Amino acid sequence: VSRPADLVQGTLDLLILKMLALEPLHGWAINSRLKRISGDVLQVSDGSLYPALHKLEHRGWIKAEWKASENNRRAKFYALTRAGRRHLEREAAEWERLSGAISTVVKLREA
Amino acid sequence: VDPRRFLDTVRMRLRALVRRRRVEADLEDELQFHLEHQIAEHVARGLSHEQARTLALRQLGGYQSQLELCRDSRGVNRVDHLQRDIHAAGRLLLRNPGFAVVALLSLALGIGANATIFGLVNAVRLRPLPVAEAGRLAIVDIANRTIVPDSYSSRVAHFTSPLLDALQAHREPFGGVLAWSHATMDLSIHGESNFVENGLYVSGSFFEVLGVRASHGRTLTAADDTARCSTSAVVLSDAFWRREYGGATSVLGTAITLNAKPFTIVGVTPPGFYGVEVGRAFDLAIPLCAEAILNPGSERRTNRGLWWLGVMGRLKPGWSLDRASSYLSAASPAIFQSTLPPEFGAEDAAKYRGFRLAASPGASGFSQLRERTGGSLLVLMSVAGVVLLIACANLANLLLARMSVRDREMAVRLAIGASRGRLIQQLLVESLMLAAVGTLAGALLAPSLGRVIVSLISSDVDPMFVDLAADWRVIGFLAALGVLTTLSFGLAPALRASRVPPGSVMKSAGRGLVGGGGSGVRRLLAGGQVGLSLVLLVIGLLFMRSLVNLLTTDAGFTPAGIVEVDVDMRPANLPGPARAVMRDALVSRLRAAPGVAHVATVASVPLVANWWRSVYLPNDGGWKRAMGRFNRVSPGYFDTLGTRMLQGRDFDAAADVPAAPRVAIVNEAFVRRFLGGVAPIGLEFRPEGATTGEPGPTTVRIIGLVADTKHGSLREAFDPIVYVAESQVAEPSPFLNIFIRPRASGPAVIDQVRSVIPQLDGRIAFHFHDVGRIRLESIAQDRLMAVLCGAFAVLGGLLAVVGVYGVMAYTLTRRRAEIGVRLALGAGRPAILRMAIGEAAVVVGAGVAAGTAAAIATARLAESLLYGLTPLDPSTFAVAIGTLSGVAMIAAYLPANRASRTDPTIALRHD
Repeated sequence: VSRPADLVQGTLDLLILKMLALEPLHGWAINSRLKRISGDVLQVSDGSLYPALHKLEHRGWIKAEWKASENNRRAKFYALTRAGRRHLEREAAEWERLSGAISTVVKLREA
Repeated sequence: VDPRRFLDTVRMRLRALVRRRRVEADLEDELQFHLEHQIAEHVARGLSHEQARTLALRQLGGYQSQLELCRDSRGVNRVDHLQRDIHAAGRLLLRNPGFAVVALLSLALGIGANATIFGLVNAVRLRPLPVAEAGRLAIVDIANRTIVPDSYSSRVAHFTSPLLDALQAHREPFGGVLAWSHATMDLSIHGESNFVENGLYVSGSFFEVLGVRASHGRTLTAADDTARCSTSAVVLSDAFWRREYGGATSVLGTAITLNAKPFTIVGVTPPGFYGVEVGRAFDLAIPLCAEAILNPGSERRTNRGLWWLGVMGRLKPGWSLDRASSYLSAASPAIFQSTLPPEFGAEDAAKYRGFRLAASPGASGFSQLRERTGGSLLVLMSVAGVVLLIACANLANLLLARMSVRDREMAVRLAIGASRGRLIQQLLVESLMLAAVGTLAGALLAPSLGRVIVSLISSDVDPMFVDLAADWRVIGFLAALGVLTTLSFGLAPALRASRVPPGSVMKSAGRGLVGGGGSGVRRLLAGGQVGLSLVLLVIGLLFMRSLVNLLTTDAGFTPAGIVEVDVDMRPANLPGPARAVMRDALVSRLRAAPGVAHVATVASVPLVANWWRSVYLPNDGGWKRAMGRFNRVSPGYFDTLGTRMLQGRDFDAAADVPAAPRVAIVNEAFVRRFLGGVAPIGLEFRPEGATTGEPGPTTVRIIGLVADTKHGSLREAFDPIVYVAESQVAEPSPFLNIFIRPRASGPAVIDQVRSVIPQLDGRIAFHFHDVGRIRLESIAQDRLMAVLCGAFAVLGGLLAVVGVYGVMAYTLTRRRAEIGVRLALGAGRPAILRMAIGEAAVVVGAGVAAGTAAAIATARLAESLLYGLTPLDPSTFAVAIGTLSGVAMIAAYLPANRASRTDPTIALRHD
């Protein structure tokens, strides 16, 4: 099993917020959806997902609700708050800027 | 900040706190849900259920630590940890009751001592008067007062009545000005007196300016304080009303007699209002004008030389103290010019005209007590502070000792991932718990200790009232003390424990040859305790020896046993010459009574009254001024006192009559100071006349010389005294002080006086004093300092000795293995003993050296309070150093001796 690349510092929050921007999800679904969408490139280590979720909830960017899951089990669903959405926009723009800059540098032709 | 988001956060935090169990359950549910899915996925890939579960947990990084991480990110943990630390600390204290009792007792005593003294300082110096807007009150007084030959007749004698009237014309800075004085007033109509000790004369404006309203009836107003003084109204204090009348409102409108004059009770002041003088609680108040009713013929209301009033004003809005002072200063020349006493000679008149009035803060009222106790309170404050420091050092030592036992626990906790911050927090919480309980106990102790102290300086004749109720200052002081205490005894052990490298502790635990770390700090603390307790011991010994000096000082007479009878002939309405007849009859009847050895009258009672008067001695054709104490006594006075007649003769009632030439007796100090040691008999002088600074017309011849006596107080040096003959006064004052020396064995003198006086005239008022007791009460404050500082010294010394013993016992136990090896290799017991004692001697010696330096600095504070020895008295220092070193070394010897008897085989096998 090849180890997925470590996430760049700070991008975990961004990815979680983006997943939740699409629709409310529980923790397990966030991770499996992220894996699926990124074609197994991006995977959050289980150990850091839940602390991150609690931190985001604590900051008021996401809120939680207990609902029945797909297989009818009680699960904790997270959804984006308005503040979270604003934060996501800011973070996404910042990411665009940063990654654009990095790829420009990386694509420089070597003489 | 988005308010909605803020509210959400608050809600979540609250939820996390209030519904902790629910939040915890949710968290576990969430992780369980995750695990189920993960396990299902692994099983689907072909793992067994067990393997899948193990893998899933490992991926999560451990279930418990995942829970902890989530809690951390919610910020719940901080509060949670605190709660757990408090529980743990409580359990730890209960498991170690010996430690807890010692720690709490020393803290409670240390903090109690400080809280008590601070309570006194607060009550006497800081607390504002219990009136509305006390901060706007200003005391008006002469800023540059120098002695002018006047009569001061009150504890607070800042003003004469004419001066007060002159101030009324210049009261621009004040919304209102009040004046007051105090007096004892006699409740009984005749016969033996029943005094109200704290009666007040108050101006009509008094209650209005203070903003005090009656709780029943009315207060006094301007209508009561008029020239005719017709209302004869009395206002009672709440305490007096409850004490004397059981708090019955029916007393309003009823009569009360003061000095046999009828008055009417018109009101009661609210509870808590004690007047304007800190240290006294007034009993009843009558208008200023009534002074002339109580004391017929009194000149206080008109005489420019009788100082008897305290004056206070309420500043108008916009007026500061500085502005009021400069206004008063500018108005002063006119005020003093218009009130110049006519009898003043040129020199005194110039002084008087130079007086300047000023306004000073009046929020905390008038107080003689404040000036009298200022130095003592400073010393007591420092001493109490030192006691607390010793208690803290002792506790730090105990905690450090306990810490080294807990090194392993701390090391294990660090090793399995606890942060140093958490460990420090836990240890500080333990200290804080100790400090909190100690502070509480000290706070409960303080009011009763304070009352004991007040009762030690209070007396029947001069009752003190100090309001010791806690206010925000006291509570703030206690809180600050608690926190500082915690930090001072808790921080060092906490920091040390959290710095211990886990590995070395685990490795060396219980096996090291040389005692563990921290013993350096512990020796420092023990040495510090020795030093601080030396300071206490020196101060305590200084005050005790000062008290002994005062008790054994030669006053020149024997006060013990003398009965003083104060007679007031005014109710008998006798004309002047008849008073002389009555006086002589009283003295001769009392002299004839069976239990009486000697009887005499005295105008200025020793240790109580002050009467200074200049006399003029011939000098090169002019006159030389000799300022000394003055007194007027009857024949037999010196026999009554037990003072020796050195030359010449005593007064003689038959020869020294009003018509005969004036005669006087002087004491040795007078001869030394003014006559250059020449034999005084036959010399003549003139007392001051009507104009101050000049001799009068009467010539007086000196007929006797007596031994020196103390007059003002026991602390004073012997002053020059001139005695003139009472028998030469044709029309004596109605007040008579009679001294009686009883026979060694005989019936009680007091009972005889009680029967003799009414036989002569039933209207005469009289009461008794015990001169021996007056002498003791005059040194009440010295007694207080000796008792308190002595007690503090014993307390501090005990704590220090316990500290030295603890350190020695601890380090030697830790070094058992080393000592075992030494003994096994052939070192003798004496060598071990020498080594241990030597180490203790270094600690004690360093402490004593530092303590001596600190004691020298601290003892200077006591300089003005000591009698008969200097603060650096070498023998006191020697005794203190010797005692403390001796006791400390005994404390060190016990564990040293035990260590030297260590059985090497057992010591070595032990590890």
